[in-house]
Amino acid sequence: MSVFDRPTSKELLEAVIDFIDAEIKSDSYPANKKFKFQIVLNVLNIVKREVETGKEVNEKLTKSGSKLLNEENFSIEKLSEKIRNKELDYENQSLIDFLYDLTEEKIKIDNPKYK
Amino acid sequence: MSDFQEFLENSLQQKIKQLIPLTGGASADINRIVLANEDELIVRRTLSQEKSVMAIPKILEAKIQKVVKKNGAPVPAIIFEFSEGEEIGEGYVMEAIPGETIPRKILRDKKFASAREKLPFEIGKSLAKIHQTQLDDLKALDQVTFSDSLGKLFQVYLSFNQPQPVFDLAFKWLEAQKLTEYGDVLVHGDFRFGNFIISEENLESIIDWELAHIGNPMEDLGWLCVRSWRFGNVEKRVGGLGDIKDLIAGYESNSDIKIDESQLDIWQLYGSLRWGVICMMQTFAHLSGMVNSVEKAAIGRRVSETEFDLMNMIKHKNFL
Repeated sequence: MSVFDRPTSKELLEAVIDFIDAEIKSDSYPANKKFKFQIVLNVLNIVKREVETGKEVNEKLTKSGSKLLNEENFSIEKLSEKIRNKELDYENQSLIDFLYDLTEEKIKIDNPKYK
Repeated sequence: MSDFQEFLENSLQQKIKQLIPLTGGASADINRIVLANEDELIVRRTLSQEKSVMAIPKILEAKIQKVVKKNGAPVPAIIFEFSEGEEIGEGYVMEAIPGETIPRKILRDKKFASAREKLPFEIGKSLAKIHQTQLDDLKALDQVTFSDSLGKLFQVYLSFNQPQPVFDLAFKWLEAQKLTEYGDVLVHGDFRFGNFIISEENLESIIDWELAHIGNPMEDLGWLCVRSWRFGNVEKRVGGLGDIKDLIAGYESNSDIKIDESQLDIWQLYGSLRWGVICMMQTFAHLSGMVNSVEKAAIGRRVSETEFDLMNMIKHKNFL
């Protein structure tokens, strides 16, 4: 539930994405600007996917991260620190599995075509 | 006419029809010179106010190209070097080698089909030649060991104050590896498609020597295999173009060094980490307010691509 009206943030982004996409597909659009707008489109799509699923992914990973660290509060900073000071060994399978999951979730948002 | 053009005309003793700016390395101003008789040359220079911390001085770049060329590896011939004041800067003029550098074109255009087949072998062969360059004349170059490189990269990564646990894991993984020493060689430092001039027949030239140093020969081979330069042809480890066996066969056909693939794996993993940190460097140039650029902002979210590659290499031993 949200106090904000439709269009939702996702729907607003989609409208902008569709507009730019149609605009740069036309033959009259200059090639050098097309390239820049393609980057803009990629950025907007990242934001859209993060708006869509980011919260859920964050909750899921925070939960499994807490389990890995055996601590109530998980943070990326804490995890990095424990790898740096070797509290978590680089060959620790649970660590490797967690980081693999984390990476898979990030790539789904940043560039789902990257496999 | 600009002072720079006038300077070039006086030095070359020829009229210039056009100076065409080219996009190039991070720390070079590059122009194509079209002479009145339609002949073409390339000028690469650094303006004094934009000296990069990473790149070697342009004069040293020119010197490397001369030494490498004398040894028979394909690089453009140097016409002359200059070291002038602020307006002109420091740099060199070299021959313009005809051909294509844009990786996607080389990988996809029909006209490069026959070149593509032999490129992994030929690139390996030329790299072996580069690695045999006599170092006596190149003492000004930094000698960089693997642990130096790793240490420096870690410091750069720390400077952004944005923890990436996958990078921390990769640093620890790399620190634990046993590196084979092959003896010091001239390392190109950015040996990948984009810095190769390719004709319809073959590899014509290797350019952009600004990251050259003395180090381990496997660094260049590993960097060439980093997944970020495969441009969608993921299963082809050598720049999206071919098999690693051909690259190794080409290298070994011209060298006494025998390549151990597991060493190449280590250097490829290091390459992915290095590219990841470079992506961070780019994005933090935007985030720090130094430049305002949507491209640089966007590249920050490509860091996860290198993390994905690193985790596939570490977890699944998958170097494809």
